[in-house]
Amino acid sequence: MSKDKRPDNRTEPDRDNEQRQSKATDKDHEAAERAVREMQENCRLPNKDLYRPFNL
Amino acid sequence: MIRVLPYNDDIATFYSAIESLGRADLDCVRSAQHFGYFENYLRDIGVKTLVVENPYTDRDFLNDLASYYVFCHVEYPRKCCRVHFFSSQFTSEELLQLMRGATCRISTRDLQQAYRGFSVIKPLPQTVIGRTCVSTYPSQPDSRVFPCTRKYRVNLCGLDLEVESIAFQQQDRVVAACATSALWSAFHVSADRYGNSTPCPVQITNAATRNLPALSRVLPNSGLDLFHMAHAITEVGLEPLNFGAKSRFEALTTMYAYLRAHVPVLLGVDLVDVPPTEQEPKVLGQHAIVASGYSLSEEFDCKPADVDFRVVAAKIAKLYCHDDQVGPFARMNVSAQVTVPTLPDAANWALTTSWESAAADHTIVAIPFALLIPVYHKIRIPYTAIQQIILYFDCIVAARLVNAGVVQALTWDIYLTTVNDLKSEFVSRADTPFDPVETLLLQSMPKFLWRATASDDAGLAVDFIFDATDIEQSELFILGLEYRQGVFDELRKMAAQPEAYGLQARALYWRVLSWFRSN
Repeated sequence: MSKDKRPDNRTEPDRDNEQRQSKATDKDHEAAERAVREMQENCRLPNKDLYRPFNL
Repeated sequence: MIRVLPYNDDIATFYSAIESLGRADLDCVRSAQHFGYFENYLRDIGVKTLVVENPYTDRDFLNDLASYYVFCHVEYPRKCCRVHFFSSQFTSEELLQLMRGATCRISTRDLQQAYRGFSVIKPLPQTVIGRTCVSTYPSQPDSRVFPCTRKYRVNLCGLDLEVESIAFQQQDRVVAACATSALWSAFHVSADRYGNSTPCPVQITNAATRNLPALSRVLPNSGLDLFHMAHAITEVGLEPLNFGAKSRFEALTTMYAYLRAHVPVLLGVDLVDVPPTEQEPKVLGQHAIVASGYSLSEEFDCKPADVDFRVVAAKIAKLYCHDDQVGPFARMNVSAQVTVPTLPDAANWALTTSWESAAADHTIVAIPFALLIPVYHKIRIPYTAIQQIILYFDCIVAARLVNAGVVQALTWDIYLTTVNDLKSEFVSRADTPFDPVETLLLQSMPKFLWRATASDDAGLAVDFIFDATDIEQSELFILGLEYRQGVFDELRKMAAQPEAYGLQARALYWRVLSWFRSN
């Protein structure tokens, strides 16, 4: 018997809880978006660093 | 003429080769930090015998001489000498017998196995170390890695020898400062892979300033800036990529991604003299070095703020860099932030150095601020684009896979590769759950690829392959490889019903997920 055809013994609250856990929220997306933006910012080389001569 | 000298971990033997050229101010040469470094390094790679080849004509020095030194009133000789390093003991007589084909204790094979490289000694008063190719510390596949090396073929009086290295030379402060020396080493590595030219130091300095005149005179050279360095990179037919290096996570992950693909990474740092007490650290100046290897620890020492994104590159504990003021493969430990009042927005990390401070109890640390990476023109998609997709995927989609119980928290290994390297890895492999021939080996793929391999405590989970030659607005994702059954089924479900999982069709992870709608 395939996994999908097994009898479902979960209760309604179990199912709600699983559904909540398996669903990405807007808050999750915002956190990921923030991390990506921060990463972009951290990889940017500030203009003032472009003209510093390597003098050693 | 050659001389064979036994080497007993005493750098004075090396000085005798320098002395034989008769030009050097030996007190000045001895006071340079290179020689302390070379003494330790030659011991670490097990050198037991030196063979001094004198005279020796070196192309790089000859070009520098013809472009600059020859116009001086003082006459500088055109011939250098070359010192070869061997990890076995033999005498001059034994070497001559071998050359004559007579029966002797050593064979050419023994000599090749014991060969640890060479160093050209230039006939200058102070900055004598010319082209130097020495073998690396022994590689340890899971921790210490030197991906940016190439083979140098050497002919010593008819004997063919070979060393795996990347060329190093000390800046002469005339035709080359640190930036030129770092570029020169980097071009040596990329030439082996991409066929670019390997100009000598004076040609690099001149090319860097050809269309971007410096404020001060170019020769003698007191230093290039990032614009000049980028220009020198385009002059040899490569493309420059620049990144900020002030965040430890982004800097280390970016360096790792390119280093693994044998692409050297130039690092711009502030050198800071740090006293042991509460006294204020002092900025000495800016220095350019080239990273060619790294060492991994067991721990993830850094991650981006707010999200639990694990990548292998975050385990980098040491970098191995060619520092023209120290020596080849100089070990630099990744260390905590150093607060410097005169550098208010300095990096949140630092690197230890082998620089010697004028004050005995001070240390000199390097605080990175820029990365400059010379890449082949077809490598168009930068690492950051792929890291962002994977970060987004890990935060949203992989979290759903963890909830579904098909994987645990994933660790990502993200790096640039080539189609040849990728396919070679899977030839004759029978341990994959997929058929590598149909899935991968017979597929037409671009020359350069980004690869993101995900694993957890149970082993490999998936491999995601991206096109590194495409345009950023494209999907980029070209292939997924499944090592763990059930992962792709779960991803197909998510791709078929994104709303049920709270997934957004315009989010970055969709570039990966959309592939599972039809595969």
